[in-house]
Amino acid sequence: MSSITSKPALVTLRGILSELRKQSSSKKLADNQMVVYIFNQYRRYQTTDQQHCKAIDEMHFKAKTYHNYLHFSRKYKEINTEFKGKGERSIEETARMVGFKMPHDPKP
Amino acid sequence: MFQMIGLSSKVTGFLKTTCIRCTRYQNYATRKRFYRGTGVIQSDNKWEVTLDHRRLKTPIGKPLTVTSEPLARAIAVEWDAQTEHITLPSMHLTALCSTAQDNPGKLNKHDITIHFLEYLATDTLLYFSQEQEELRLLQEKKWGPVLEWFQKRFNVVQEVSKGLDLPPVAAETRAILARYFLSYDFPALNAMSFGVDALKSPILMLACVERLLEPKEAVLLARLEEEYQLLQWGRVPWAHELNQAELTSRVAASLLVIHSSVENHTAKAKATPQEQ
Repeated sequence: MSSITSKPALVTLRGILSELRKQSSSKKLADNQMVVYIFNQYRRYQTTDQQHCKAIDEMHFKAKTYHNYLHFSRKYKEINTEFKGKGERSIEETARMVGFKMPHDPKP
Repeated sequence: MFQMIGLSSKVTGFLKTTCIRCTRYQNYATRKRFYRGTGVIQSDNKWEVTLDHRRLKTPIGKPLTVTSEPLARAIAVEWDAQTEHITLPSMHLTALCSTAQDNPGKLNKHDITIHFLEYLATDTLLYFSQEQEELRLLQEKKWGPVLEWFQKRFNVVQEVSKGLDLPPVAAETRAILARYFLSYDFPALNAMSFGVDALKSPILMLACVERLLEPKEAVLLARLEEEYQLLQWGRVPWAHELNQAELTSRVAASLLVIHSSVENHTAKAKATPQEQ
C-alpha cells in the first residue's frame, strides 16, 4: 500500500524543501509557513494517504505536482534572466567588440 | 520650410509621447517588491493571502479569496519568491485564482466545456506523423497507451486523424465528456483550459487530472515531435528548455488549482451527510 513515508515520497519532500529554500526570502527554513504546513501534512498522512476516501497516491501526486511547479518556474526564471537581452550596446562597447578605439582613448 | 519644421516638431512630439507610454508600461510591468513577508489568513472558510498585513487583491481591486488552504499558502510562497521585482507573468497560481474570481472574459462553465469539446478533434494526440516512419513509431509507443487509457476511462471510441482531416468525434463521446467537465466548478475549469492551451491536448490534460501522468511527463508527450527533432538538430536552452520549463510550470499550476478545488468539493459533501 502506498504510504507517504515510502522512499519516493520522501525524495519528493526533499525536492520541495530544496526548492523552497532557494526561493524563500526568510533565512531559516523553519520560519517559512509553507514548510511548516507541508511537514504537518506529511505527518498527518504518515501511515496512509487513503484517508477521507482519497485515491491511492493522491497526496504524493499533489506533492509531485507542487515540486514540478516550483522547480520549473524557477528554471524558467533562471533561463530567462540568463539569456535576456540587455538593450542596446553603447558606442564604446560596440567599438571594442570590433577592435576599434574611441577618438578620445589614449593611443598605444 | 516652415511646413517642414512644423512636421518635424510633430514627429518629435509623437515620438516623445510614445516614449512616455513605453516607460509607463515598463514601470507597470516591473513593479518593485514593496513588502517584506507574506502570509495567509482565514476568514469564514475562505483563505486570503497577506503581504505585510495588507491583503492581496485581484486586478479589479477585490481581495483575493481562495477556498483551499494549501492553495493560499502556495500563492503566498509565489509572492515570497519574488526578489527585486515582481514578475507577474510567471505567477501562474495567482493569475489563475484571480482570473477565476474576476472572470474578465465573462465566461461560464458551459462556454469552457464547449471550447474543450471543439478542441478535442484537433487534439495533438490524434495526429500521428505521416512522413517520418521513425517518429510515427515513437508516437505510437508513447501516445498509444494514453489514448488507450482515455478510451477505457471514459468508455468511448476515438479515431485518430488520417492526413489533415479532422477525426470524427461521436455525439456520445461529446455527451460523456461534457458531463465530466461540467462536474467541475468554474475555477477548476478555468484552470483546466489554461492547461489544455499549454499542452494543446484535452486528452493529455485529462490524463493529468486523473493522475495518470505527472505534468513533467505530459509536457514531454505534448512536445514529442520537438524532442524527436532535437535528437537530430541539437538543443538550444533559450528556446527548447525555456519552452519546456514554461509549459510544465503552467500545467502544474493548473493541476494544483483543479485538485484543490476537487478536494474542497468532496470535503464539503462529506461534512453534511444528513442534508443530502
